[in-house]
Amino acid sequence: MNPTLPPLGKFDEKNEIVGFDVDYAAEIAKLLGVKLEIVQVGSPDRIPFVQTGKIDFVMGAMTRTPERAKVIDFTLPVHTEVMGVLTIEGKPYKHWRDLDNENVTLVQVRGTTPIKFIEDNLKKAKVTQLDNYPDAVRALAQGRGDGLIDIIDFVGEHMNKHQVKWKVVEAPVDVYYCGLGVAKNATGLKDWLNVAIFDLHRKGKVGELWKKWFGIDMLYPTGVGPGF
Amino acid sequence: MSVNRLASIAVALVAMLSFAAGTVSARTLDEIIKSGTIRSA
Repeated sequence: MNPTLPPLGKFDEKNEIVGFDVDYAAEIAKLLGVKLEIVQVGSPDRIPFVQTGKIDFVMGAMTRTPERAKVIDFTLPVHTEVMGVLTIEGKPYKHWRDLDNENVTLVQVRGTTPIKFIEDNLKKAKVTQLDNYPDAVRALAQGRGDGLIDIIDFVGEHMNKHQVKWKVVEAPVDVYYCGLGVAKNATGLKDWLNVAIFDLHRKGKVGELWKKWFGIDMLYPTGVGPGF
Repeated sequence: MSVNRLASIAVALVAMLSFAAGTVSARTLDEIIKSGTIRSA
């Protein structure tokens, strides 16, 4: 688990890793009838760990990409992440391109990926850069900006601290599908995990854990069907 | 760089070298069940 990706993983007051990924992996272990061993990883070492069998599967927002799928196998999606526009109800935007306007001010977190996206695609918009997500969401709530472009799921816990009616612009910039990563050719494990993932989706467990840790419903539920 | 970060990099290097040497491999579902523990990160 990666403790630097809250609320997927973070350290609690006892210095133990907690979060969505931990709870989800515990559900997987329960279905398999075994104990769960949590292994701490960072982004650079997580794929080597799964390739070499130091871990059986990896989470941590593993977006399924063709490039990654050359070196590890992926299960069905467990959750999505939505790169989109957070704004306040009453704003007229229906598509992220509507923010490419000189009268629009975006509040963004300094040094994050969306800054480059805005520079490339929303050249007319003004950008106010702040140091962290709590400050950026507060600025938006106070009307000091018109929108925030980022992975909206990860700002849910900050949104809930403000008494404003939030709105996520209908057309997202992108939707990423994240599954469990397993070693190449671990076919038996992957097949079993897919059945377990379907079972957890079917029972509503994924949505329940998402709401618990992210404070909001998953914006784009994966909707795994029985015929996968 | 923190001690934890250095340790993490060292473990990753060992893992990659072990993989290259063919000394470790992923466990099968059967092996996971028999061991009684599934390892997740």
